[in-house]
Amino acid sequence: MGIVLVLALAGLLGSGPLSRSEVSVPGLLRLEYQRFARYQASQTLSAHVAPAGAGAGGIRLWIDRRFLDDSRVDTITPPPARVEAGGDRLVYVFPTRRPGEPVTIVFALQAERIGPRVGRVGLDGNAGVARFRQFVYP
Amino acid sequence: MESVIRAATIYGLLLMVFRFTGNRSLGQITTFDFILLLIISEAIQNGMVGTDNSVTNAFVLVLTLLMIDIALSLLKARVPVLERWLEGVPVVIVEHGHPLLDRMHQSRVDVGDVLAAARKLHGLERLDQVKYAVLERSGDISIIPEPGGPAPRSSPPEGSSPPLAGASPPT
Repeated sequence: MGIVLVLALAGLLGSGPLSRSEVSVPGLLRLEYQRFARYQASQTLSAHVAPAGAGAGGIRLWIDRRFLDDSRVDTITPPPARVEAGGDRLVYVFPTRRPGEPVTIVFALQAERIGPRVGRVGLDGNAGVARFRQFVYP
Repeated sequence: MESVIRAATIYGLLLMVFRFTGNRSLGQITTFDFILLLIISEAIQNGMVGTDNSVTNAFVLVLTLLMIDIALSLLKARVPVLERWLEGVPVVIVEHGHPLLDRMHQSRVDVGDVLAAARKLHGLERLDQVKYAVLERSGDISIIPEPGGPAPRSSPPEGSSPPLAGASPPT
């Protein structure tokens, strides 16, 4: 039982150092996510977009539709100017004030399905995909 | 991680609060004390659970609270000072019929409480029939009756006073 508690403290049963992870598309996007999340509990997904990732119309960040179907998006900071629906993805468009600066976009989510799931995030118009796995505890 | 920290914080805070508010808080519980406990548990629950209503969170919280409790009891068995600090020591509050008022005041126990315990436990009527009254760690009052009845000097004449005349402390 003590071991379970230590693992919980380390993040194996939710948030914590063991749970924090990141994946990146070199030069464009770095995504911080939680490897382990809990059902209907808040979690964050932070996308750090490099200056090269912003186009003329601002940043066009997309998230896999399947991942979003299993999630409830509580807040997005900064809020997107608009959301466009693609076939298997939703594209969030963020206007940038100073094009030369990196931007961090934070999604506050809640997982709506228990079990393992895969998420994909990328920048529209770019082939690079940040793919991550997450396990949602009941 | 947050769940463990939250549960540990709540445990520590409650331990401190109930230690400093004294033994009486949980010892002889009245109806209102019971309601108060329920309200406290409701108030604490929000702080501990937060917005995470998952089963995993509940499991981690319960596990944390139990493990801290077990760890502390093991530690208390090895370190007597810690036990004294965390649970206090039994306090003698009546000695040979004389209430030790400063101690009683400190523990928020009055003569009435001692007499109530004396009546309940031994059917005693007066304070001078009590050799020792001890406020235990649990908050209970234990009574050791004077062997062979009260000391003669403080014994009132037969029938001269109502049964609870000893409630006023001897001067």
